[in-house]
Amino acid sequence: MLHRTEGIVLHSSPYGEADLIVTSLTRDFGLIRLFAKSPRKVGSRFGSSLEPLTHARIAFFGKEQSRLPRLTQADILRPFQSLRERISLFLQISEAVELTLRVLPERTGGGKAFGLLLSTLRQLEEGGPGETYLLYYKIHLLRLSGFAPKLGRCGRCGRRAERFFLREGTVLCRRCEPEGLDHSPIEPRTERIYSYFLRARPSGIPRLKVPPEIIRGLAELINAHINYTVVERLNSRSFPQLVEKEAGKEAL
Amino acid sequence: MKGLIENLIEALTLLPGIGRKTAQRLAYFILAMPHKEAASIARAITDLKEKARFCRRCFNITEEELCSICRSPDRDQRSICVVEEPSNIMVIERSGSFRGTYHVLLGALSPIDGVTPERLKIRELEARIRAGGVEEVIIATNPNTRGEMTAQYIKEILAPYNVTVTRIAYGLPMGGDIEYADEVTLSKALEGRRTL
Repeated sequence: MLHRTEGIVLHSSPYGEADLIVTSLTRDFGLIRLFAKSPRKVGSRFGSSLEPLTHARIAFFGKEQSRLPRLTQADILRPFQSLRERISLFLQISEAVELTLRVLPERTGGGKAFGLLLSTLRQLEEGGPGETYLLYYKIHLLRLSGFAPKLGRCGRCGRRAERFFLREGTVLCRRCEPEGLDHSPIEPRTERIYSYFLRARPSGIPRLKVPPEIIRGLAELINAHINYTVVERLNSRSFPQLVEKEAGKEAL
Repeated sequence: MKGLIENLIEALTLLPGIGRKTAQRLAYFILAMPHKEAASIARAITDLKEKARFCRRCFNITEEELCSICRSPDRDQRSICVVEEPSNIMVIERSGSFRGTYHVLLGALSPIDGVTPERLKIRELEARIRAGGVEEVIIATNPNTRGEMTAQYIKEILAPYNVTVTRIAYGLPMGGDIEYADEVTLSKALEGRRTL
């Protein structure tokens, strides 16, 4: 059966002589792995449509539950080429993409996750604050996949709470907190920004006037939560430091 | 007899681009071959696996300490063409348009797959430049995101040295129609246009 949808390429792995296995986040089928015949050959009809972050209208052929449907067509809607050309930004986007690959199971997370990624990439290409958009993206992705940390109210009894317990993935009040467990205090401003992020649309981010240290603090908390809850270490996380260190480049 | 044929078919299907039917055809072709020719194929494969190693300087495949290109006095040592895989050298050599030397990275950067600069032969390239005598480094990594990122990274790494870093041109493949080119390829071709 032939399916048509829109997709954003997240990852591709070489397969065989000139083929690719492409992982795409699609509007209608969620995360899906597709087999593309010969896109690595010069003059392939796929051209650059299977490069990471490319938003394309795609068609693929396969049974409903086929594990590896065959990609038959990919017409570029927006290439997001400028994002791929900025190495430090691309490395940070890679981290968000890797997280997406880790938290979304295949064939789930259709419309909402696709819309979230597409709007984030659009805002980034239009020159928005990269670090803030990617933080926004991570928070919403965690929410969509059920991994979002709970701030503001105690995860057990619902009372106001300000101490975040990494192992619990939530803030806990004095009554509920277990003894001897590591925790970090959450500033009220950090909690407010977090709940704003959960409510806001990506278009609202440029209007946000927040001191950079608050964004940085929230980003550290979210990254620690991801490390503990989702994956111990994202491969792409070591890259930005490396580039900054070796090439003297500034990350966003 | 069925066991022997079956073994060969299974072994041949391990090769890229060889499905079961092709493997079967090849297996019967080998069976029909003169013994000498079949033995020479087998010997070529075992020789390759036993004797092939990386060139100490450029990481091309060689039997010696240095590959034939690095040893050749006819090659221009002032220019290094950086490629991702040893197989890329063969393609460039076939074009006959480059007379310098090579440097094989043995891959391309890929953040998601954890391919960091340490896993590639970038430090060794830098050491070659630091040793002096090189005037131009031509980066011929693949024209895709990984290849581009690797090219940009190398450019940054080599920035402190007195060496010209160039990138192979992008554009449309010869014999193709503009009508079928995608937006990115076409915009790269327009960016890289030159005066006739």
